[in-house]
Amino acid sequence: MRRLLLGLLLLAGCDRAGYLDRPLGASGPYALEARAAWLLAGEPAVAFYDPVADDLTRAALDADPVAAVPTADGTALLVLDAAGGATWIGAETRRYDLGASFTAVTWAPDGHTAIVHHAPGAASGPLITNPNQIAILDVARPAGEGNPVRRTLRSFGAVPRSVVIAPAARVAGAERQLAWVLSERYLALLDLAAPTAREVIVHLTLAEDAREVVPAQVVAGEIEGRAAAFVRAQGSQDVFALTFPDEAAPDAVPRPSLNLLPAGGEPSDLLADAERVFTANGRAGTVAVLDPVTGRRRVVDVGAPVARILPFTAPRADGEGEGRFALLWAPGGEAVVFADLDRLELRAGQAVTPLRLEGRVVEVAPLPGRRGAAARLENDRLVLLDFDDRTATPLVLAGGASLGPMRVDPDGDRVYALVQGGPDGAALVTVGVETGAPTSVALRSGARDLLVLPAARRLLIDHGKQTGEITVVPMGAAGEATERSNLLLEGMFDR
Amino acid sequence: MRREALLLLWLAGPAWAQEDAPAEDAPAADAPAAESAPVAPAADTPAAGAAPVAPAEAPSTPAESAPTPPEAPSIPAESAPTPPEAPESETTEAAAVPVADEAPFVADWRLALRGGASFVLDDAFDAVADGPTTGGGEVGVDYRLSDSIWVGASWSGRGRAGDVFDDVQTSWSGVSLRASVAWRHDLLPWLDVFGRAGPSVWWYDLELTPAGGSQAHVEASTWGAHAGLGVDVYFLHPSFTDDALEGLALGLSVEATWDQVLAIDVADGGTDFGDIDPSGPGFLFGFALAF
Repeated sequence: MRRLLLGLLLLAGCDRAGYLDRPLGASGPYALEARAAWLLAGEPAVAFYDPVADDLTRAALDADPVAAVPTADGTALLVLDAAGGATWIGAETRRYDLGASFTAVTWAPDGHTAIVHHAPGAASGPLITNPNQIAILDVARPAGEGNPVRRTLRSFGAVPRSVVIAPAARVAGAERQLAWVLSERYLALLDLAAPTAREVIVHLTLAEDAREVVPAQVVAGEIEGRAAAFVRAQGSQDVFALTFPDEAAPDAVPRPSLNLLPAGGEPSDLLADAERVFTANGRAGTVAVLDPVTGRRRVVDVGAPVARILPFTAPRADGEGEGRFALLWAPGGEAVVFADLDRLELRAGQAVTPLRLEGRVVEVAPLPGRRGAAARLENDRLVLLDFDDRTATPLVLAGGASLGPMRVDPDGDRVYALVQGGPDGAALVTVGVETGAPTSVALRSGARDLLVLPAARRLLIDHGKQTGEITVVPMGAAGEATERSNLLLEGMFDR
Repeated sequence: MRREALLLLWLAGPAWAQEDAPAEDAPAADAPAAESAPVAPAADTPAAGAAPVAPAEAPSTPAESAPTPPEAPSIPAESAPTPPEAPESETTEAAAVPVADEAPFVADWRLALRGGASFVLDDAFDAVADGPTTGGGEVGVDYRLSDSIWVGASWSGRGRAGDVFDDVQTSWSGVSLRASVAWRHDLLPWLDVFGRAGPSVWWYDLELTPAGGSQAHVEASTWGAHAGLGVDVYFLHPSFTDDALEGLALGLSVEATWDQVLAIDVADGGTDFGDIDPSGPGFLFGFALAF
């Protein structure tokens, strides 16, 4: 009897798996091509949800996740962990030892090369980190010699703010993939085709210049047939033009020459083609057309603040074939501007068409495959912009409703938006672009985010609950929405 | 409070019984003596029949009449050895005999109210609580079919509350209706050993309540079977207390149990949480009343 009681006591004292005592620590969801993913810091693991199969799967991680970044094509997820590693979860799963706990990833356009770095202000891992440390990773290859490449950039009193990777191109006589690490007052230039080559530092200001010049955008271009890059920086009214030499050693980073192109105002956005550079000068309400060869500049007053350039092509009204146009807009602006980029330099004000809206713009999303865009206004209105007719069609929501995140489907046929506080409470509003007719589907509870999973042809509404509460909506069949609560607890008794 | 009062009542029961016993025993001993006085001599009629008549005066006669005529002593010589107290002492011994020969107490019914713990061996239960223990109880009734074979039915329940993932509150409970066939053997009049087995049907209820989230509430029923081995010890028994508890015995019961239950699929709100198999060992301890 004593033995039985002892056994029962031992049984009563059994410990369970540690992850069951830790918070779930869910973050996400992250939108992939056909799935949504959540990081589960408590386990640690990544949970993938396939909305078509209505199936949740988990991929175990070796260490606590810090951040995750989907690849550009949405087929895989790279997870950074606190142990200084990165786990790539795609067709297969691979883990890479990065040597430090990073917090940000910038993917190259090829979809498999990435620079892993520290995000400004983000803290993870050990008490002290080297913010100039980066890792160059190729997820198409398994971990091994030269993958990843860990290195520390030379520092000139600043830390990296962001990273830009240009498409692979022939530059300075060799096939290269240039990457720019942007720090206050300077850029570090790398060639990912020669990842161990010493970086080239491009200073944007003179040593005695006290201005706070922070590079914010790098656009690849050409100047007289030679590869070039144009850099926009906060705190400067100039566009920095970097021109590469015709030849450079393939195993070295080519050293560019620097020129300044005055924009006539502090640029908020930059667009470059083979001949010209366009800048939207937000506060000034002007657009500048710059000739990078001659340095000639034409500044056009467009009559409204413009901070973003959304280029598109359209047939010319005069029948002279296709023309290059742009929709210019600014967050908080009460008007958008249609600009004829081909005629802007020549006809100035006659090449722009302002269009006043019934509220301040929050965001503009182009409609894929169409010459149009959807705009969300601060006064909870949706506006469909027609690039051909230069018109805006407002969609007024029911009184009291507030407009949340807005998305468009991959075909550009519909615009989706979350609304709160309408007659149905929380709802998903779908607007057909052709008809402009809105339909509404009531949601069980308030929504935090709206994700588009294009390959699955599904929308996923995240209700912001820690255990995963979602609504899945088939594109074009909003009435067939299904709800899932406690999704991230699925299978908890089977593990 | 009622539970405490009941417990005190039961605990006090044996003490009352012990205090009352001498008071009951004394009249029991006296009464037979008084009543048997005429009876016991009846058994000794040939010897004692003369004693009340002649010997009452005879003892003094021989002593005083020692010098009497020679034929007289033959009469006192026969009656003199019979003392007046002798019939009384013989009747006292004879009075205990009828009680000892009463038929032993045999109960046909048994009620049991017991509590205890059971243990869920399935690791899935880790996601409900941080240990396998569930608390519960059972109330049951058994009926004697033959000397050793009983049949019974019982209603039992068990439950456990806990948490998982730090902020998801869990609540697990189950009730069952059980039928059983039991074998019982009296090792002593007040000590039974028994074993039982039978089918059961369970109704389970599981709640998962995430902080700020939607509660999952699952109700499911499943079939199972149970078995147990136990002992009943009666501290109040007719063999101790004569007819004060005639036809009634009260005691303690302890039983080691095993529940085998078909696994339950837990699903709610479109989410399948998985299967739980609540099978496992346990024990019950409490009171048994036989009558």
